[in-house]
Amino acid sequence: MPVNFEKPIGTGDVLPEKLKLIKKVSFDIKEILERWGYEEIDTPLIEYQKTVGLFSKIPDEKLIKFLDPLGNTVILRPDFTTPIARFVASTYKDVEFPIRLMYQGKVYTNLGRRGINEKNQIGLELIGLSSLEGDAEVISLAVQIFLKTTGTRFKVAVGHTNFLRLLLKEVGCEFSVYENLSQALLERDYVAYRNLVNNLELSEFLKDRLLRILKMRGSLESIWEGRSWFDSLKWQSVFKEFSGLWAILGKYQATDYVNFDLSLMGQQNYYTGMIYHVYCEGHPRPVCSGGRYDNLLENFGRPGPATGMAVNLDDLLAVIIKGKGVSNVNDSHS
Amino acid sequence: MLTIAIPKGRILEEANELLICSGIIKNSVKESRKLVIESPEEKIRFILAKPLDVPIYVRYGVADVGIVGKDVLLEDNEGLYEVMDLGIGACRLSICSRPGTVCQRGELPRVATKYPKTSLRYFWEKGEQVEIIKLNGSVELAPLLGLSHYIVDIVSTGRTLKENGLVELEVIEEITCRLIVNQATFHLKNTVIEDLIERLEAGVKV
Repeated sequence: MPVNFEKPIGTGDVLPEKLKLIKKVSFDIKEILERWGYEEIDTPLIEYQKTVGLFSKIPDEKLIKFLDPLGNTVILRPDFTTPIARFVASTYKDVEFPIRLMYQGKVYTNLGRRGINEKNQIGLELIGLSSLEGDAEVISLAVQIFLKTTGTRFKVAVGHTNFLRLLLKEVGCEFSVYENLSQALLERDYVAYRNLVNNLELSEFLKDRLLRILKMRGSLESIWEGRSWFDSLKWQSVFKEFSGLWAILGKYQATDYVNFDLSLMGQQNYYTGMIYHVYCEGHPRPVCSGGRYDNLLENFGRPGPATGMAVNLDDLLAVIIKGKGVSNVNDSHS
Repeated sequence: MLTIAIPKGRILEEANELLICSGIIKNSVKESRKLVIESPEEKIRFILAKPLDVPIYVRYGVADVGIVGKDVLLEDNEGLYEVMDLGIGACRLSICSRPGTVCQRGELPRVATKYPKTSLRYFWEKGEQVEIIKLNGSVELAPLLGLSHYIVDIVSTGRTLKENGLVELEVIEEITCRLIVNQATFHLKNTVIEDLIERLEAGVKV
């Protein structure tokens, strides 16, 4: 039985001082996004499990579920991306692509015995733009946000969801191998990945390539050797994407803050292309993550490419407070 | 400055040998009451921790990297990079019992262990439902006193088992120590980490 001082595990009260800081930081972020044409919307805290819950591809046990008054299973929104896909395909169905939306609010996932994971997010979705300009826009917005709000060193790690799949196809592996290897990378378990690769029936030469990607991390230069590995159109086109993205990021003067990482895997199962994670010095987790999701909207009946990202405000605040970037935030309003 | 979490006890000696062999430190890290040991010459700081706490220090970023057994990581590897098999601290995680242990039909087998998640997962994969009893040490006692039918624990030489009249039934996993890295460190100090890995790889081969 809960006692009167308790709140559900994983949730928290926000004190005035912190709330002021959240408002300031959010204001700064929204100001940047508004300049780029993003409009803020809000969506319900609860959604139907059979639509948003299912299409979010978040494992069922990670959703917080209950019944609405009519007996339908509803969930607390686990992210904003899926509700916004619903919104764009229904309420906004007559609005022409590209659509730029931003949001701020809380999202909830179920951690079982460890309670509820309540996260305060601020993010953006860029819907209807399939080109690299879309990815570059989102990445450079992330860079601008971190430059503006923190005084801490940070890196945007950029990977590609299809890279491993493509590489395995080039070396001639079966799909079952992909499952195991991608799981190892998702768990960041390089030892398991290496052991799996070493047990494959492949030439040492091809194994070396599968192992090499664990070390390919950094500027375009540090992954460029991979381009000449295979001649197929698909392989060449993925490297063309990397170099194209790098060129646009150069124009935005963002390349100093970006690292490619060929072993990066997206946590969200709906990603279809480039994925991004932002890491800040001294903060143990990614503070912001996102990626391209070109197949999510069609679930709601309006196919369209899209990309986006979400900043975890609590993580960002921790970085700001620790890095004494706080004074910068105050300065920007005085 | 790089902060390395290393486990007290069984593994420390081998870890020292490897770190010296790899040219990362000159003098071995000694277990004492002092829990944070600075090695300013090499720009390294060591945190001496209980093995189960090593992943926690690394996850929260108070240590950049850690040395820890795979047995511990099987229980808890969330949010960490497991970058290298260090080859030290070799042992195995096994199911053991008194010889000839049988469960009554309809009785849920009881398994005493320091590794509840791994044990539950292993029996689940075998299609067996068991009751896990979490102990914090001297797990071998449990079957002797009739607390459990089985234990899941690490076995290296098998001497403790023998002295307590237990036998090893099945090996769940071969265990060695791993190098783990905090996520942010991995992405922001990548050259430092790659350099550390390279040295250790050379050290492992010696």
